[in-house]
Amino acid sequence: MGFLNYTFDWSVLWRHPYGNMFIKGVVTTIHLSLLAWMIAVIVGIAIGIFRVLPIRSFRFAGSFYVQIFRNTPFLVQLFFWYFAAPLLLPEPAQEWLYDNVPNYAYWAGVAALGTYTASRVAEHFRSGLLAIPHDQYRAAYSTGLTTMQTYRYVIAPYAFRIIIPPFTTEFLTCFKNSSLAMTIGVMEVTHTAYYVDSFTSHGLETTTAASLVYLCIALCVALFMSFVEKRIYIPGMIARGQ
Amino acid sequence: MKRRTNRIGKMGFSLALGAVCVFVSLAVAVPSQGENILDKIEKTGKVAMAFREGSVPFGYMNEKGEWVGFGLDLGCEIVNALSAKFQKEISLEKIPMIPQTRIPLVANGTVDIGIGSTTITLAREEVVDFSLPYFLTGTRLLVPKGSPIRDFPDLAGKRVGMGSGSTANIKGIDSAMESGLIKPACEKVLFEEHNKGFLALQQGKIHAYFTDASMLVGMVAKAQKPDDWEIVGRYLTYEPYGIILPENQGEWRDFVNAALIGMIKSGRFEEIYEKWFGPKGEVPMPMSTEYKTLLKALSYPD
Repeated sequence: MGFLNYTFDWSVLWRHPYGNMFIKGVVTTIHLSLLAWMIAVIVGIAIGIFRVLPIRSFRFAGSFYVQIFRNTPFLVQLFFWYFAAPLLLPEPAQEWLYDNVPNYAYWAGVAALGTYTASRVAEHFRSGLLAIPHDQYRAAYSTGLTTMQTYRYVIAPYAFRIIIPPFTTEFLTCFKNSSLAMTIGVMEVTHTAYYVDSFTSHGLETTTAASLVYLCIALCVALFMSFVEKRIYIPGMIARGQ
Repeated sequence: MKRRTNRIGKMGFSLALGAVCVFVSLAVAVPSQGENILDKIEKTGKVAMAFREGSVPFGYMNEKGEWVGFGLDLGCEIVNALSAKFQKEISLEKIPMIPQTRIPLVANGTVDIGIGSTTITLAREEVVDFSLPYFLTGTRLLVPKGSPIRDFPDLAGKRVGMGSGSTANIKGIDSAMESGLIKPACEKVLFEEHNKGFLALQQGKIHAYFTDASMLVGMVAKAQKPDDWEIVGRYLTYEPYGIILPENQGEWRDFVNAALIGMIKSGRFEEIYEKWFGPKGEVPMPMSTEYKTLLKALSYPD
């Protein structure tokens, strides 16, 4: 098969040694994104709660975090975690870090993607909390629940369900953003595609394969999230287009 | 309602597939198929050449923001030769290239010629053509002054940076590890650009940076304190540089080769070399004996 002077050779995707590189790249993309997503959910929910607490200093800390991480480009944040963040440590600690943390770039990528996505998750979670009518709080308090109990048993269960659609989007974006980690040398699937291209000059095949990998991951995530949404659906809560 | 959601889902899927196809077709610009490049240059009065922007001194931006370099000077000489051949002014269209784009730019016909710091490799020969080798260097190591690393065997177990687009370099270090020269193996750390790798070396993230000696000399020349760095080790591999040319353009390649040979024989080539690599040049690097021999071998009689 050939067009435009270009002869397709799809075997670069599985031929030795490129096949193994691709598998490693896909695996790296998946666990980098999943680790980052875990950080994002934990930190994001904490920050989201900070932003609605009735204590001013917590609210300030929460909004400070969100403004910093949401309003600077992700690429710049990646460079920050890779090149600048270690410089904040004393010199012996820096040396220890580079010698004992295998693949520092990978962890810088996880930290960058996790903290960046956390700022977006925090905003979604906060808006989920704010979307609950004030009467719900009053009703909960009137039954004698404490603030903690109100959030734990009444508000949070609603809020989590409201934010599932935006969470799906963030989860997908987390996978797609992981491709930027190639700029600091992480061998995820996009970098692998470029790398194999530079050896074989078959960039069309390799970039197509990388795109399909993202497409597959995205479809799986979307299916999984819609399964979760159906599973925990509370009848009558929100009108769903079903 | 259920059916409608399904239809939208299907549409979404085909849209996504379509997007992939569009993306893929954008990646290949339409090549100028089969047209004789020399005829095209004569007809249009224009030649499109690609140069590096970040490779000192082959093609880079100087302090005044001008795009200059060894490659650009060679390009101008070729344009002069074209003007002389067709007896009319040929204008030069300059296009930037990076290691990842230099081969596709020429292969798909965006430019007629790419002059940078490109090693001629057999793998690249499958996709593009090369002129005669006009520059010869080899791969060595850049380390902080006083580093225990003196040569390639000292790299055992260390972290070594290199450019992810520099395939010839990567293959060189791989075979050095396979042959047991570097034992136990070193860890390869890849960087998109040499300057990022140099930054990582300054910060101690890597123990040495590995690439062509001509690049390393350029990196040291641009460093804040050039005295803090040294280039060590034997030549691990030889790297002959060639001008990138499109496949199946024999006449065009003959013309470029003839222009190169003409420059070498007239001494113009040496003048340009002195301008960039001489004692007063941007990157002082005396010509090695091997390189001198290569230029003599290229002095074909008329």
